[in-house]
Amino acid sequence: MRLDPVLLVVTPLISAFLLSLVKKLTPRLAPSLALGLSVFTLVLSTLLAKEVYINGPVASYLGGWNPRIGISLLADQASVLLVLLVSWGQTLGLVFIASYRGFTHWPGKYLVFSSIFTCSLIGMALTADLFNLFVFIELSTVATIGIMAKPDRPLGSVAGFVYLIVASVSGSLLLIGVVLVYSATGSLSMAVIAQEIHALPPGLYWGILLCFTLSLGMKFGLVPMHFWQPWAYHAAGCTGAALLTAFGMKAYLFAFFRVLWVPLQLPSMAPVFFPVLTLWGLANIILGHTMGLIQKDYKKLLALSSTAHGGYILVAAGLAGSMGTTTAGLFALAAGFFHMLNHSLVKASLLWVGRSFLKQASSSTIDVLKASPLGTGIFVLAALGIVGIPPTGGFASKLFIASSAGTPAPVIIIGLGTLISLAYYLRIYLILRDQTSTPSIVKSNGTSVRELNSLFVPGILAMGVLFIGFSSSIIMPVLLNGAGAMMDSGTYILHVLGDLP
Amino acid sequence: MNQSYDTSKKIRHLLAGIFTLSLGASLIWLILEATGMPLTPDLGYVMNSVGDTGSINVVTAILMDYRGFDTLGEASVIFTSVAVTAAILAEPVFTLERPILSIITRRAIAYLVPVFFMFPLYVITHGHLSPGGGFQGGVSLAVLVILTHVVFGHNLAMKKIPFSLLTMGEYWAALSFGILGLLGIFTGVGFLANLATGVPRGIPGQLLSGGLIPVLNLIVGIKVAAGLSSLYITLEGNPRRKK
Amino acid sequence: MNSLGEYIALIIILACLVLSALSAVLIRGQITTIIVLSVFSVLCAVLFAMLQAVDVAMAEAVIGAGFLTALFVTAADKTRGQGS
Repeated sequence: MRLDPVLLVVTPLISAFLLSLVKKLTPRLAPSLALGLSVFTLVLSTLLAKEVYINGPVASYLGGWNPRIGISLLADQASVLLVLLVSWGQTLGLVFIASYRGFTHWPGKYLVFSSIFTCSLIGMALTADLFNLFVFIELSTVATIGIMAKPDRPLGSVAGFVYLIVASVSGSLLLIGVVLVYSATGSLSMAVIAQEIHALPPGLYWGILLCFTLSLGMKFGLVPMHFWQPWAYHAAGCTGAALLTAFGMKAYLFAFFRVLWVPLQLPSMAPVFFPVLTLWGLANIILGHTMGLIQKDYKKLLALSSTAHGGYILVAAGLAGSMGTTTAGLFALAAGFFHMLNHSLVKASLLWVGRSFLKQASSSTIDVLKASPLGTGIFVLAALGIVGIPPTGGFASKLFIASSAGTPAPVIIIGLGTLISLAYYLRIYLILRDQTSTPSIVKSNGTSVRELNSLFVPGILAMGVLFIGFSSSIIMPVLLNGAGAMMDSGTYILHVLGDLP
Repeated sequence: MNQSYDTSKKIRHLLAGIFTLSLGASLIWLILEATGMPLTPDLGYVMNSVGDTGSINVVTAILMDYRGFDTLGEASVIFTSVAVTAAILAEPVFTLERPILSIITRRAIAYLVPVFFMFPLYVITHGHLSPGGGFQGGVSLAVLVILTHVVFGHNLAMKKIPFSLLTMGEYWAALSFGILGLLGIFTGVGFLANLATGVPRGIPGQLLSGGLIPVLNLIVGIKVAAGLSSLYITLEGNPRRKK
Repeated sequence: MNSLGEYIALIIILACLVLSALSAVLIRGQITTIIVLSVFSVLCAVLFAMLQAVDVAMAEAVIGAGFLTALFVTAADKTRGQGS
């Protein structure tokens, strides 16, 4: 019997329920239990990925119903990659907290919210049903507010409220899109919609496309709608912000691409939208980086840099869509996936190492940040990765994306964006270097040992960036496989509707 | 109204109005376009649902069986929102207070409360037979908890319906929803499977029919009632913040 | 629609819906707005029931008119006098 993909969604969900119960009864047990459950999810996702890459995609029919009337999930070569990424993110996040807080009582409900967030991201990756996608996006919205808002941070509640309003608008748009699709095609299954959507009149089709683009664009920060991100990540605290930007944003982008390629059938219905997507991505790069350049707050700067890097991924997807299912098109999308992986590692590393800077400076303003020498080292490595200096993965992914562009304009903008980001990371480095020389940090009490421990996970991640830079020739074939699964909607439909009548 | 608006505010209101109207107009146009499409053949919910699920209420059949996974997701949304509210606000505390409503109202409501409780309990337990279900009944129960608070004062209500009972009820209900779904995995059918797991269907139309649907209705009812009423209590029991 | 009477009733309810939605936006004063919104929900519920969607009507009546009103009133009470 093959591993049922629904277990990947259900395990974090049941863990969240279990954890809130355990937290009420025996709070000391909760952190270790959470870590155990999260490692279990990680093992499951590894097994699923292995299964999918050896024996092909696995579908899951909830309640045993035919996908035309029930809900179905599909784990294919693309979605398992995201599932792996998200479950690694959840586990590393917990390890990171444990590294500076130990396994005793953790205040707040971070455990519950991060579990639910993981569940919703995995669900977004796996689901083959449009309304189910909406449900998971809603779930992730609420969990995001939970991660952001804390009673001792009044700003967190405000950011949570702003996010709630943005998310309500985005959710309504998505729901309108789903309702329009359902009333026009009579189905909610992505595979069935993909077969029926060709009959839609162009006006209705563009309306639906606009609904989905705007709605999901608000979530991952498409340019005029990214304004909530700096506030949200500023409020979230470094640990939570890493979860939101490094892994959440990727899941929204992934869901967006899936909606474009499978149910909306963009390559055959409106191929002209792909160049628009590329341009939009370039606008993201320019605006994200220039706004980052004038930003004075460490976390807000990283949030704006996330906006820019979402742009790189969009550019890759737009280029891939314009070129179609050719070798070059597959390569472009795989480069986008590679950039996702790279950005996840780097952004998590920067935010988590940033936690110790912020802690020592007790402020998140860049000018007063303080760092230990090791912290500065990790920061430099991660910054090299995000700017894209040769041996790191960032260089490889940016090079791949730029080399997919047939015209010089995207290459110039990507180069320009790289230069701008080099400028602001260099600025942070110079400040950190000046502050590092003050030896006040090296105290022999328990707190500084914990601060040293907290550098462990970001250090590993920064090394990971170096590693994927060297081993891009091993990773790219896997990602090419994933890109193929993403762009080939015929195979997707076949696997969802496959052996059922 | 005596207040004088300055021009910029007026223009902003005008723009907001125009924006809303045009948004509404385009939405109506899109919906007309979408519903004007030739309808695809019926998926079979209406024709087959009684045979497939044993529930004679098609809506409940869809909510609890065909698309039970979405219901689990939405129930988790409520669960998470309650948890978020509890995480932002402090534990509810009610200081000493006088009952707000008069003795006549209180006595009258005290006699009526059992009658009031019949409606949500009927809606929850007969979800597969008549309109309604766990969700609607659960919200009605939550409204009754609110009524108890408003009429009898917070201290008595908290004594009769302890907050910890509500929290625990919600957690256990959520957990049992997930575990009940796993039953389908163990029997090899699929998560949240109903009749296919081998549970008896019963005779459609009787109270004990529809396989797991009444159980799910009950769980959802408890979860929604406990979650929403603890949401209210958390809000109400939070001291008013002074600026 | 079966009969002329039902048709007229539908028109009246739709008109009242628009009216209550508009007044919810235009009326100043939190509590009044909340009450008008709950009137809107009740009208919605009646409309859904007329259109044979009894399940939805029940949910709308219970949530929109009952629960949300209670929550909104509580929130308005808790935040009274804190700026605008």
